[in-house]
Amino acid sequence: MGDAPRRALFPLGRSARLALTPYLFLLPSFVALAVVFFYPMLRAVVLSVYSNTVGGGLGQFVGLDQYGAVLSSAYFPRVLRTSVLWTAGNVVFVWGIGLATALMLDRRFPGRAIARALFILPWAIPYVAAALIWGWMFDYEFGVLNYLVRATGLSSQKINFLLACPDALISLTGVSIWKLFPLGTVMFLAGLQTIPAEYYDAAKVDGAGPLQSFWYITLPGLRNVSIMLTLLITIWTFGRAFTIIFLLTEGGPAGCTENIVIRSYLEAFKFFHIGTASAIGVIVLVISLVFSVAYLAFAHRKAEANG
Amino acid sequence: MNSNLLRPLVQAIFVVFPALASAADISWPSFMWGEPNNAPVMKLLQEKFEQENPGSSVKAVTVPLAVFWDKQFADVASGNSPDVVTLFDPDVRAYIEADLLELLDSYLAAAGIAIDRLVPTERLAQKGGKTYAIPMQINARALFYNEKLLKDAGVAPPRNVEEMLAAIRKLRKPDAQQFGYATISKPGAANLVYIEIMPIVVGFGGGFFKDGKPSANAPETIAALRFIKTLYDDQLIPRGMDTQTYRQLFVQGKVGMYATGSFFASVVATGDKETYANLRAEPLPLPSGRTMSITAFLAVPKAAKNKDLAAKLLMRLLKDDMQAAIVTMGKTHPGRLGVIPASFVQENPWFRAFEQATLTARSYAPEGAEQYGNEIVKIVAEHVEAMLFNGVSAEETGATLQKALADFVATKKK
Repeated sequence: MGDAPRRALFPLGRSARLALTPYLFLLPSFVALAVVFFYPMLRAVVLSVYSNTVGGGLGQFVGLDQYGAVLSSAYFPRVLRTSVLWTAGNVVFVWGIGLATALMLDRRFPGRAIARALFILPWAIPYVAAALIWGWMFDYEFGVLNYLVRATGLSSQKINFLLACPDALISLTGVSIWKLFPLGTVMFLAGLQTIPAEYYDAAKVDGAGPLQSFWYITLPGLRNVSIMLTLLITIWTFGRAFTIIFLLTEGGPAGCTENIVIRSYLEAFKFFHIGTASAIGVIVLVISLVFSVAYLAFAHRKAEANG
Repeated sequence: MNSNLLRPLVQAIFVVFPALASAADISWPSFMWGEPNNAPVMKLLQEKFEQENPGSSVKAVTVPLAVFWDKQFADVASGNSPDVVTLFDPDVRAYIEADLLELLDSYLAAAGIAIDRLVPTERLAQKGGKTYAIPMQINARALFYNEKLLKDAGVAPPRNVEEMLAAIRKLRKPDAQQFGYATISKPGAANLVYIEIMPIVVGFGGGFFKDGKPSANAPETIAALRFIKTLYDDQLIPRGMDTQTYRQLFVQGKVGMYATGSFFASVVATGDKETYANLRAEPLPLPSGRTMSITAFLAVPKAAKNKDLAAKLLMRLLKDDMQAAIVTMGKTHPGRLGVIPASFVQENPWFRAFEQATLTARSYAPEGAEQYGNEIVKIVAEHVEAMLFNGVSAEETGATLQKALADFVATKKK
């Protein structure tokens, strides 16, 4: 037996086996992705062209009728507007606060490492925990924010953080920004470290002040990071804006914080309209895909530019 | 494969796919397994059923209420139905219309249970004279009050709207964070908003649907909305608080009156002995003399694996001993009429208000449009929220809501 030549498991030549090896390593990930990602996505597309049905199996084939019904519905412009406002608020403030904190944390000062860790903290807190904490802080009767507002004399009246429109949308966007700005900080900090110190020295020699240095050196130096961050936050906040809103207001008051993702959930689980919910999901997917393609194109271009 | 490895693997498979464990396992996932009033009743049923049906077992799966409805729907929609489903008023209609439930008439006949001996809201579980679900319990709304708080404030239990509003005002003590009444004042969960306002709306003689037609602009409905808006605008109820929190305030003796179902007595009993000792109930002192109810129905899905056994379990629940247990242990009105033990009412006189309310209570599902209940609930809740939180008047709310409901009905007629 020891002298017998070993039979290859696959009747392939060595070069073919070598060529296949990387794909075999990728196979487990591909299978996992296919099961938990591609199949549900494909299933949503299929369900979106069938009528709403509660039981297992598909309803009646209706083509693009579900899309027509969603796009012409009274709620669609409202929920889309809320999604756009939510996304825009997140992008602008995560960018702004992220940049401001990164500039601050880029300077040398005692306790900088601790300060950096503290600024990252919101990012590490799970969404559900963050929503519950903020829910108590926003509470009208017993919340600490209303207590502080009155104790510091900022207002004699309590603030309806989650009980009025647009206050609720502003409050929820604030929570989301608080959760996400550390990502901006980290990305900008990394970006700041790629700008050569000589540029600032040369600018100083030329008589440039801090504002001019910021405008002509820092901002252009962070251009790539800014574009990446904007696209990432757009993709994340547009298509995945669910947990905070659902836990704090469930789309209320009076639909004020109901965005396209929450509507999809309501259609599926509250109204039992699986087809309609799938059509909304596919619409979200298409919109997110536009930004994803832009992101990938930009990342590809950047990789090519870096050789 | 090594047998040492094989055994845990097989065990793990049975844990992950419990249906494989035994063909006679009745799967009954429910939030009620975790509720202080319902859990003892359900465990008693489980015990009795397993004793009487050797080889069969009832699998008690506690699913938190927060995710229960979504999970149940996902299970049924994906063809992975449990053997017993729990459905409230609008859902039972939606499931029947979608042809998801098994007929129970033959089981009811075999058990000798006549439909007219079940609570009136049983009609929701019927279509074309056939029965698809049985009522486990009905929670008609009446007014719970804390006798001590009312006495301390020099207030008698109210007998009409004016007295009720006056009592609520007198009981309000902002410094002590004490409220005369509590009802929904937090946006979001449409179902909760709707369920909490409906006793008042029905109490005023109003409603959002009558005979399948919108009735949001009826004078009685607008009067009810005006009453609710007054409570909120005058800060007479806790603001921005969810149901669980203000129920706790009642338990802690911080709320004087609260309209809800009799199940709440169990919550008070386990929460605070002193408040329970002072717990009283009266019918809602509102003009129509009627109230609203929620019925918890149980049904067997068509796709259930143990349909016959599950149906027998439901019939077992309708027997005298279990009906009495629902009252004495669960402190709720069971699905059958005329089974309330006299001794229980003697010991718990507050229960009379609920027993009385059950006979005339209206289901919270929109009358004549029950199968669209959840969509209608969402539309109503949005308009009520706009009234409470965005300053819209009750009259305008009635008018815009009427139009929104009429538009909704039109889309269903297409």
